[in-house]
Amino acid sequence: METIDKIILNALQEDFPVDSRPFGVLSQKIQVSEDEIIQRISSMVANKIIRRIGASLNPKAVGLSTTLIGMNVPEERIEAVADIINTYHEVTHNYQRNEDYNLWFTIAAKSAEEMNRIIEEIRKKTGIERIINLPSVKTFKIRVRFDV
Amino acid sequence: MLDKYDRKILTLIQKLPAHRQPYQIVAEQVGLSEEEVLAKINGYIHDGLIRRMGITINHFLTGFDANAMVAWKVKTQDVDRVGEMLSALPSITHCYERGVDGDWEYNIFAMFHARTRQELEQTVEEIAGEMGVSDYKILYTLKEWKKDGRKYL
Repeated sequence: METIDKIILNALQEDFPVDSRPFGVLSQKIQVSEDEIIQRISSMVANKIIRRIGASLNPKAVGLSTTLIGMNVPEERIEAVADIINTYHEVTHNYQRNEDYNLWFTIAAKSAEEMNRIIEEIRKKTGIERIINLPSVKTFKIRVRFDV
Repeated sequence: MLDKYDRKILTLIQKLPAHRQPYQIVAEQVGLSEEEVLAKINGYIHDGLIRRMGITINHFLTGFDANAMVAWKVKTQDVDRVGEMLSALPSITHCYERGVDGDWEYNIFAMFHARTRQELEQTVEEIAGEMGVSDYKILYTLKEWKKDGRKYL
């Protein structure tokens, strides 16, 4: 990766300007033109180096209910079950792991009722019986910055 | 209480376009002026609705190929001490206390990132010793079926 790309990423990971011209603000700081910054960021989005640009919300503060669900899924059904789960836009992450409970996903829903409805629907549609529901009680740490 | 504009803006600004005036594009979609949208976003940041404005990069860039959710069985009176010790580790990005359910008795979850599994397991063993918590499970990420940090309001 080119040094300029690294500089752009490190500068914008935690501090994307809330300004009419956010890339223009960065342009003045790092002496790279606004158009070049935008073009480089577009390439990094296309190459999946950048997942997304924008706000990370505090789910509780915006009124969302969140939980972590663990499921025990027979190996040969993992893909089909993951596909059913992923149809819900309330499901934000879904990972396969090396445990008895081998599929783990997070839900962020508009209310506790909505969350329970989604869990019950997933239970019915997948036919999976061993499901654990582990709502967060306390957040100790969230760090998303990685120096590149 | 969030109104319909807040919900739309908060949903849209989680994925901004790489455009000269990304907030202008959001403003057009919502039906407000760019100035109004910028003022609202500053308000959300002030009120703690937005935790961070930034670019989210892909993990593969970081060279951390071994990623695991490590679940710990911790007594109620030790939860805060353990949570704080785990959070102090640079190799941990997320740490939560969670409720237990059914046959699952592990109540502290921490996401560990390392270059290799060997390095990850060494870090886990060391901190386990320091915390005095011997019952834990290392759940490696085998496959990512979905990752979309966006939330819909």
